[in-house]
Amino acid sequence: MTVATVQLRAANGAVSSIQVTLPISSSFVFPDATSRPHMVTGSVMAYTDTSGPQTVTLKPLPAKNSTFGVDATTGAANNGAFYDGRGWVNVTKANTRIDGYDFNGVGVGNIQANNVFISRCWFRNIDGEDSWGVWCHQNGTFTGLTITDCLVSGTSATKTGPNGILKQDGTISNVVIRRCHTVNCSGFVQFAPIVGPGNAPYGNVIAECYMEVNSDPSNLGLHLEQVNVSSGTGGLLIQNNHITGPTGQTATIYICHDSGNVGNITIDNNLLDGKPQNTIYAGNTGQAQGVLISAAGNVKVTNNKFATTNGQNPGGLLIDPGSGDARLLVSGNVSYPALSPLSI
Amino acid sequence: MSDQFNVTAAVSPSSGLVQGSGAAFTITISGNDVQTVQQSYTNTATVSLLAADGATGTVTVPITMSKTVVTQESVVITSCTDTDGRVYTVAGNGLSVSSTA
Repeated sequence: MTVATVQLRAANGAVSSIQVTLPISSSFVFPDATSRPHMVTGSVMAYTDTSGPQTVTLKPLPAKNSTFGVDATTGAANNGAFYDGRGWVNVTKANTRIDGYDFNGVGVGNIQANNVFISRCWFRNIDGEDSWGVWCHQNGTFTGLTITDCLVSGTSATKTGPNGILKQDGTISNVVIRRCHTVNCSGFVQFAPIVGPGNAPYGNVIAECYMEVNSDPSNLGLHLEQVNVSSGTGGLLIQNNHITGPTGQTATIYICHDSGNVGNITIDNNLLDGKPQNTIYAGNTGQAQGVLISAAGNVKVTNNKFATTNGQNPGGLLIDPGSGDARLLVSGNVSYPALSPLSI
Repeated sequence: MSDQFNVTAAVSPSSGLVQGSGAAFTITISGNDVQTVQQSYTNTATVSLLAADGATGTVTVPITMSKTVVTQESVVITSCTDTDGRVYTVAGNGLSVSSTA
């Protein structure tokens, strides 16, 4: 999202400024199945970041009774991570980076520190419920969790796979997920809640990710949206992602007040395909549950590409049932690949 | 004195711009600066007096008054920047700026 600041001067010499959001979409190339952002051959993960193609040789996790992790600034060992009782990894020291690990059979079970970085990791063999690559359910208030260039893969499209890259149901703000990839997972991310001040530019960001086809959801009986936001008005930007909606499930992006007021969400310049019931579900006041988006709703759906070939996005552009909700801003969305304007 | 800028801005075209495409766009402002000034001035009241013996006189009393004056001041653009670092050109009338996507 580009914001212009216009400086003003009145005839009497008084000065001020005004900010304008420009309707400029990114030329970002969405990753797809023929150019997956993360491929693993043996122990080598190939991926692409802003500097071009990269590779990393994944390290096996250390022995169960050890600590690991480095200081994100200096690169020196800081032992900020250790194993919890079920053998998953907890991070308890600020400014810890966990980089380049093969999380085979376990994930990150909790984040209990500020400014934690998890990069270039592969989460696998964690099929089943409550099997997030990273789960933040800490006690305490923290800020800063950055997850980049990670892959979460289930073993099969017909088997209940891992939940996804992140569940945030603690109290952590400034969560950034960038260039991550899920495949054969039952979703990508859950926020309950979004934490932050709620002022743009938002500190919580999901960008440049590929949320590939979901695994078979039939055994869970849950909402299996790729992006599920069930509370919080702290601000979330979802931008430049390729998101494949779960076949027959409620939505690709689900925004609902299941566990509290929810809003201040911008969904911009994403490629949205797949065959969910609704591409974006953002409720309104007509539901039996009451007001689904709080008065501060502020949900913007701008400049997205909605795949429309072969029966994709059968629910249309959006939004069930909030299409008449004045607290939604919808503009600049187009069909894909035709790029014809869409409106509600 | 206070100034309240009641200015809005609109972008043309309002959609369809793609980063790096080179397509031109314009931001146009409309509105004014509402200037509010409290002006004070002194008035003089003359009070005529009559004594019991019939003598007369006057006394003058200064009275300080104030009034609020609201004026609409025109507004122009002096410069524009954005988060992508574009270069903007301010139109001759100062009411718009233009650049390329």
